Amino acid sequence: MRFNTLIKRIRKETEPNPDFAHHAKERYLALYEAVFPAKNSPWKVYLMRAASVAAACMVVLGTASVYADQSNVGVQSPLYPLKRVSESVRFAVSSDEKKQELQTELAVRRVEEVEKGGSGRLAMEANAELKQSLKSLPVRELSVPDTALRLEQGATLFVAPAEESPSPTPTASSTPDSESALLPPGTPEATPTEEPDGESEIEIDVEIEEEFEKAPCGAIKRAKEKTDVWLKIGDTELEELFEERCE
Amino acid sequence: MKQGDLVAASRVYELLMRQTYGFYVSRIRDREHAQDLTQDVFMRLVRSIQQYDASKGDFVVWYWKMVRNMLIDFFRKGKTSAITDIESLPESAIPAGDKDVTEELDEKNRRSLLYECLQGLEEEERELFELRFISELPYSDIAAIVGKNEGALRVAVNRIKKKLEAIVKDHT
Repeated sequence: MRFNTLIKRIRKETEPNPDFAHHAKERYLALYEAVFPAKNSPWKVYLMRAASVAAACMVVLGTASVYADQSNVGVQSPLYPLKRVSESVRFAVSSDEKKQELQTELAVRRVEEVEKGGSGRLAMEANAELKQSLKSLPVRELSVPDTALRLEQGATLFVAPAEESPSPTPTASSTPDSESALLPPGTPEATPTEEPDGESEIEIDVEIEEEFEKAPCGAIKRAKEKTDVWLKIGDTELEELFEERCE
Repeated sequence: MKQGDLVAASRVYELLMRQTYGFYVSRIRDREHAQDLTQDVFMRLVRSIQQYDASKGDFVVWYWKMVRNMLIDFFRKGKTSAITDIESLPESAIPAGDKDVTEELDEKNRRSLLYECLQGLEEEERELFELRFISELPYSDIAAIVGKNEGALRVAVNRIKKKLEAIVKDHT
């Protein structure tokens, strides 16, 4: 018998009984838990593990959300819901001043998403968001650039979906010769209505009609260029307004 | 483990239990006492882990010094049951009912040989043999545990190997 074989045999002879090893371990760990109770109570161990998993998930989801938000992923992207969450968080933590800017920025995003093929539901959401954005701006404090921006955004929103999705997307006739109408206040949200001749109109609650009357000529002109039609806001025909004030 | 990490404590047990038991059972040649000592050393480990200072040395060395001290205490209290015949050697973990007569004879011969080998070593050599070949500790750790020079230990271990090989040769 060689030396190594001898060693192997001695090791085998001195192996502990499995039952003893198991019970000794149980007693040892029980004592260990008794000596370190606070750190090892089952609920605490469970909580620590859960917290670790939650922290890892938050890091992953947080990173994905920020990425989705910053890269402005489209509606078709699986990260789109995360983008919306990130937007909500950004909105929630913004100052009042920033909130107004952000709401406008988000409304524009919704409009772009509708343009890129978003669903009718998304269009409704976009419309509602834009309306909210418009409402949240204090009318009397509106600056000229605000008015111009809203005018252009409104034009983008109500014209763009018409080419993609007929209903329930808020649409306006987008043919160059037709007239897109933003109807008087009172309607809770944009509702496409079908005219007998097949053309759509938009009913929308616009509470800032007076502000549009003060809109600068450049903004009215850009809205016309964007929509390719003259908008009607309440009783105000932008074309007439433009002719009266700008020509 | 000092931080109250149950997983770490469990891991320490898994790593050290077999070697510790092997060391004790080989030294005192009594399974029950070896089991008691093994159990006691892990209990003491839990109670004294806070005293371990990593800046003063390796954990394994600290642990094995504790194992060795407990064995010294055991002998000092006169609990030793010195081996007198081969029946006192630790039984194999295989249940007796699973072996036939030939196997039992083979096992007796084998245990007799192992006994002869262990008896052929001096006390100090026995300890060195057990720490090196049963507990499988590196020379550096053994040197720190027994307080001897590493080079001297290597020479001593070589001497033990030759001694055991001679015993085995005589036996066969």
